[in-house]
Amino acid sequence: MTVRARGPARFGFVTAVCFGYAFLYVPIVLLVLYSFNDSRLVTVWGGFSTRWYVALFENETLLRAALRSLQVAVISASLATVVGLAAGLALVRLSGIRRALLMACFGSLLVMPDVLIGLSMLLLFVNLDQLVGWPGRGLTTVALAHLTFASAYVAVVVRARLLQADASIEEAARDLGARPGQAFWLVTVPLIRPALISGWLLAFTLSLDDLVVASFVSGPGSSTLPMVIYSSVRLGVTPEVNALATLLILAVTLGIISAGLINRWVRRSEG
Amino acid sequence: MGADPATFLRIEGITRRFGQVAAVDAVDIDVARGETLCLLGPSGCGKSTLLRTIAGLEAPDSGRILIDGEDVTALPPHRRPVNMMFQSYALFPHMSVRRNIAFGLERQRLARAAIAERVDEMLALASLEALADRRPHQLSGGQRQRVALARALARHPRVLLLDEPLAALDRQLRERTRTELAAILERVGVTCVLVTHDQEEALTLADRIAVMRQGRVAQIGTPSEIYDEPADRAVAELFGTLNLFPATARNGGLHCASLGLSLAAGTDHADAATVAIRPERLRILAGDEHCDHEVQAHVERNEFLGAARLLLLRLPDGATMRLLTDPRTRAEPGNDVRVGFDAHAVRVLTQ
Amino acid sequence: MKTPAFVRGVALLPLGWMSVFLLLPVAILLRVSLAEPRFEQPPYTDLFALAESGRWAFEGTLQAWRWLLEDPTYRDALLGSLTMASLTTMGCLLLALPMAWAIARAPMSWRTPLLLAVILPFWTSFLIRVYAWIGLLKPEGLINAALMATGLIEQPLLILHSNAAVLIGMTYAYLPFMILPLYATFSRLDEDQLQAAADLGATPWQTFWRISLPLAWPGALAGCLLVFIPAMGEFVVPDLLGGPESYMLGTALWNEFFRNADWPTASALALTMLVVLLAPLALLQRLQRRDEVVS
Repeated sequence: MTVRARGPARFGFVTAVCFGYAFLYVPIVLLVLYSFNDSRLVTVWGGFSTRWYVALFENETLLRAALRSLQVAVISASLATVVGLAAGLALVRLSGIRRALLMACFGSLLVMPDVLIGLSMLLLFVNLDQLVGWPGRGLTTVALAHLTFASAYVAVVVRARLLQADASIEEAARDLGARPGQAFWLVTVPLIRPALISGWLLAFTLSLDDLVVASFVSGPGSSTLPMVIYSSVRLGVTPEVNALATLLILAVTLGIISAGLINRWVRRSEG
Repeated sequence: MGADPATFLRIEGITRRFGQVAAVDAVDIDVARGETLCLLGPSGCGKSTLLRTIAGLEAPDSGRILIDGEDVTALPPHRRPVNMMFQSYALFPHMSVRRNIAFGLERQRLARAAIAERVDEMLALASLEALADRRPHQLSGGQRQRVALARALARHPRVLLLDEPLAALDRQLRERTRTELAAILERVGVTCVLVTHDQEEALTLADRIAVMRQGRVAQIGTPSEIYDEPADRAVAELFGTLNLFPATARNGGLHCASLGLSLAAGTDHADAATVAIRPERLRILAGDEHCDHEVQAHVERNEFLGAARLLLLRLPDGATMRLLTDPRTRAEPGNDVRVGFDAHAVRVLTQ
Repeated sequence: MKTPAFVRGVALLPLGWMSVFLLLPVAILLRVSLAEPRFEQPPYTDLFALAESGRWAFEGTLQAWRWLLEDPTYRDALLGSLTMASLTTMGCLLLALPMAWAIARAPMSWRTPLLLAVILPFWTSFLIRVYAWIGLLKPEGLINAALMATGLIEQPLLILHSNAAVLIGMTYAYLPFMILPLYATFSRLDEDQLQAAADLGATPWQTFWRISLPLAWPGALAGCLLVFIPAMGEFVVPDLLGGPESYMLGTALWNEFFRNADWPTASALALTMLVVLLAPLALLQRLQRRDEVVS
């Protein structure tokens, strides 16, 4: 760090950075604080209380939705990892028109607005249902839709890791008598395991987090957690949601830290 | 091309193009059973591509690869009786040394006991017994190199391919590892193709060297042939510094003004050529000594290199000349000396 | 080695999946946008009907599209989306530039935690992060309470349910997408080039404006597209934080679908959004391909 601003420029710079991080974290921190507020009002600190957590665990609608969301997230993340792994490999190894097509599809999925994905998925499911009587509208369709957009994120992570990896390792496996499929399963997949783990976690979080796509494709009685949160939030601030948010943030933070530790452990044991 | 009965690996008219560029351009090389052939050349000369073609990792645009008379050109890498040691070693990071060496044997569906026995044999060969359960990242560079070699040898390859086997090691380690490698190769007696850009490596490890340039073989021969009788100036320059002097045609022969040297014709050298003499082939002559050829020179610099002494000389016509000699030689700068050389030390090169 | 059969086989899965779940739906969108809404399942008419003459007749209509052109609400929604997405992009860029620069120039051991601190909010629920702003922005919320306590204002500001709130919320939600690509390019800048500039007499500001920024523009452009494209179709933020004037394409599409059950108009809106986004999407692809060549 030799190129450094001095004086007022430096001060302004530091202020901007601090403001940026404050901007990112103040809302989250306040949310956590107020989940322990005894008062229903946001502005008033009514003393420390865990009553909203108690209320949360008595709210059957929320709990059932949470369970549904977890189910969908686990299934769609696992399948998205499979599709994303195949896509990541294809993106690195294919060439020509097929590669360009895949790039365009997965690249667009990453940034496409949710309403667009949601509506087109729904129309697809409705038409499929008309044609073959499957998949109806419910948790299956939510999982299928989530798996589709989450696989794009997995593909990005897998592709980055594959590009980083030493290509001659897979060649060595082939040279030592492994068929292409064997080389892939025995050597390449273990090699990119960290990417698969973080890809799965990413897909899991995205599924757990999605409101818009799920709203389009879910059916009656299959409201996911974000859908239930959304309808209660639209009615105003509810401290129970604060408590739920705090638990989610805790879960995600723990998840990221453990993923980081796993990654570091894997890297240390493999050099 | 008559099939030489000694030929074991035959590279026949192999061409590999990348776009417009021919990385390997119609290369023919025969390798005898048990021989170590070294492909030598600067990076980008096509030597690695040729090696990968033998392994089956690159498909040639034309040409054939034959091993013991059998055409393997169409075989995918996992069905070829060759194994390769990669430049990066390409060890499997998630497997122990033992599992790395066993990998190729497991693909052959050998009995577990047979695999264990062969792995132990390889561990002993590469002196890795104590490290068998380590992971690659827990090994030093030299140890990794031995694992890669053991892994490539485990399947009894009919041809062993070595891609820059010592390039990943630091200088100090390289020389010792080179000796070890030579010893192991000799003990196993496997037919071997080795790729390197390091001429010292080529000279010490190879039975024969193929010097490659722009996808073609510039010269092929034993190390001493390549060193002493380079086919052209570029090959000569690969091995150490060289004294080069222009020569012109005169009276049906060649004349080199700098050395005051006339050579008989009888060669197909055109009207202009280069005369080359290696610095270590020049001698400073004492008062009564005589040589095939002699020339007067002025000592400009005198550099002590430890094992030798390098003299920078100026010839009567102003050309400079290097002379490598015994470190005890006395020749102070500013003095004139008499330099002599044998007739067979002189090489006439085209280009 | 030419593409092995194995890779071609594996590639069938993503290729097939994308054809069914991404390309086919676009065709269906077009088909539905040419229909009329009706109160049956599915809630839109068929495109072809068997006429009395015994021949199939095309029954499609451009009514939904005419609707979009004639009703000013949709034009306002499109303009609203363009305005808010552009402003959000600028807001993110302004905030992200110093942050990405600071992270890229921080000591090695600091970079990962600082970067993680940017990514962490991205992993926590989008909905909850937007919701958190309601508590901050509403008239009796914390920002107003703080401003009134310091005596800066006497009446609470009506930020919530305004475009300002939408802008804050969207900038907040999309900030990480801007910081990450900017960081990636900044961290790839050669420290020696910056030192050379300083050595040649450039002030730190001049170095930043004359050397770093011109070299970092692909990253900045990628970041802008990563923010702009999804922001164009944003629904949650204007719905929760915005007011009546915060009408955007996403909101319009949502309302047509959920309130009016007008699937054809919703489909036409979705296609409009897709067409508007085609150019930015293509640009993003080109940038990524370029990035690949560079690295």
